[in-house]
Amino acid sequence: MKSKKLSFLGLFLTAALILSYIETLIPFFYGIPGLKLGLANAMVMLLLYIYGVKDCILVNIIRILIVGFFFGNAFSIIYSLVGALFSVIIMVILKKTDKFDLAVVSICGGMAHNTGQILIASVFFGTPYLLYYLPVLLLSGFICGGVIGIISKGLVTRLKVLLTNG
Amino acid sequence: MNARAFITLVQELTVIKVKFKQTIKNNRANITILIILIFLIVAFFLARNFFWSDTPDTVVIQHNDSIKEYPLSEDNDIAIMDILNNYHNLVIIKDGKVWMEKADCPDKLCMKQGKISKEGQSIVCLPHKIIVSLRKKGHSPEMDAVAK
Ligand SMILES: [Zn+2]
Repeated sequence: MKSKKLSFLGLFLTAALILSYIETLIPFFYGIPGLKLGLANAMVMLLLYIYGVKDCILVNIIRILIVGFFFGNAFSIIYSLVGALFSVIIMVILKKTDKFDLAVVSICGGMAHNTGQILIASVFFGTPYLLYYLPVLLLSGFICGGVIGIISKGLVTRLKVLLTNG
Repeated sequence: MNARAFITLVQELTVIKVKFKQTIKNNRANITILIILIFLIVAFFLARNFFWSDTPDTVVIQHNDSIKEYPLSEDNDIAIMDILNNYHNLVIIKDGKVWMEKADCPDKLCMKQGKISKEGQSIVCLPHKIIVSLRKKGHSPEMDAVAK
């Protein structure tokens, strides 16, 4: 049971890494700091809903460190960690209330992620200029979070049966 | 249409109405939060247009702790160097537009951000800690305070 879970966590991590890599290849709103599709967030949702908070955070931190070392730098790691921290906190709280649909939780997570990143970038530069992009970032977080949420919902209901039985 | 068909239609509509009401009732939390979020996004767009909607006249280049201003009306090539005078980025101001022409940062995202021409827009080079912004002189006091 334990080793089965471990191998599935490894599988999720690999999938998340591949999605993160694919994301760096997609020319989507270049350069506005924080604007991403959040494909890897689909794996975060799966982990959160199938295995729970602890495993979800652990896998996500490992993912961010690996992506940071391969495709980024010290700052991009901090940047990703802050975004991930914001989104995970919001999603865990919303999930705990048990009142919200998975897709809605994902939408809030996406928006929180982008807000966290624009805030850390504003602190880093010490200017309010970047807040110009906050509305666009909130909107993209809403849309991308929604799409990822709907996909994740379909995956969770199917995988949960597969992973928790036997 | 006879009376009977009409009654069936009314009954069907009532069923749909009840089902619709039930769906809304079951999803009240979800619907509420979605409405709040959409309202929030619209509010932020309105606030942005309220603060930043003039024609810009100044290019502010912030590099580490140094802040320099250039007039947007004059065409200019600005080389950005580090303290050892090694050349890293080239910002171009031309015809009221600003862009990053060259950069030796690893991600080159600053070059991909394209040309900016509206007040409030920025080009960011995270690895070199450079931010190039367009603004209107004397427009918002808190931004002038930051620029000093
Ligand atoms: Zn750059």
